[in-house]
Formats: sequence, C-alpha cells, structure tokens
Amino acid sequence: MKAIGLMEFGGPEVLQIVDLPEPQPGPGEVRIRVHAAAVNPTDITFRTGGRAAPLAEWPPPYVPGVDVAGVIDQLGEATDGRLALGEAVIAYVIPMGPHGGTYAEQIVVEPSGES
Amino acid sequence: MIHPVSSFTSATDTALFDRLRSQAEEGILTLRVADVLPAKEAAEAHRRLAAGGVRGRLVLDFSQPL
Repeated sequence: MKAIGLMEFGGPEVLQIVDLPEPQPGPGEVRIRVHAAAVNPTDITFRTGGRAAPLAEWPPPYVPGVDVAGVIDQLGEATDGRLALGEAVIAYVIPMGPHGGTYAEQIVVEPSGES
Repeated sequence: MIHPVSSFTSATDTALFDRLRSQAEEGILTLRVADVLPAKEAAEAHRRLAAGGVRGRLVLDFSQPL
C-alpha cells in the first residue's frame, strides 16, 4: 500500500511516496479504499511539526490528511452492520494515531466518523 | 454569537456526519473544489494552499495506484 508521507517535518518537499504494510481493520473497524483526500490547512500544521508531540509515540513515516471519500473494501470483526462492503463513504480522521492520515491508498477507520 | 468548535472533538459524531452528508446531497451545503491533483503532486498542492488565493479545497486523487 502506498501513501504520501513524511520522514521528517519540513517544507512541502518532505511529502513523498512511501510504502506501508496493507492496513488490516481490527474489531469494529473498517478499511476504506481511498478515492480522494482534501488538502486542509491543518495538513500544513502536521507537515511542519505542529503535531510532533502526539506523533512521537509512533515511528515515521507520518501520513497527513483528515478527510476522505472512498469505498469500504474490508470489514473488521464485529462491525455493527451499518456499513457494507462496496459502500461509498466519507470519513473524518484524526491523523495522529497509529493508522495515520488520509493521504493513502487505503485507511482503517472507526465507523463512528463515517457516513 | 460565536461558538468555539474543534473538528477533533467531533471526529466520532456519526449523527453530525450524517447531517453534513444529507445537506451536501440536498444541495444545502455546496462543495467547492478548487482543483483535483494526482496524489503524487501533494507537495505542489501544499505549496498552492500556502501561497493563498485558493478558493475551495484542493483535492488529491488516490483513485489510481501511486
């Protein structure tokens, strides 16, 4: 799975294509095949290190991006049935967690942030 | 009246997302896209956003493999 991530904080040039393991949804989570991710001002804060403190818990690369449109391509165990495989969804994501942000081909999310 | 809000504190508010989706589908909220760029041009998108003058959102297209 490829994503746009950064190994160090800095200018726009730190954004690069990175190779990451294909994410697997855990219990209650779903995976989205990302079609589009918007570029928001908070992504620039993220890129320049404004969120470095919460990110320090994880190793780089760090993947920015908070919103996403795509299609559900995998369901974790014990999902509540509200979302189905192949369904078009939007989601809001906080990119400082272990799953990273939305600048990625696939992202695992909690269904509560989706519609 | 000004109400302070944070998108981070509403990140798991499913009812709020359903309402936003409905309003977008009904045309109550209009979605303004400034431009769509291939995902690999993310750095260029960040430069354009930082330069100012962008009306609407720049969107990165991830539908094709990177």
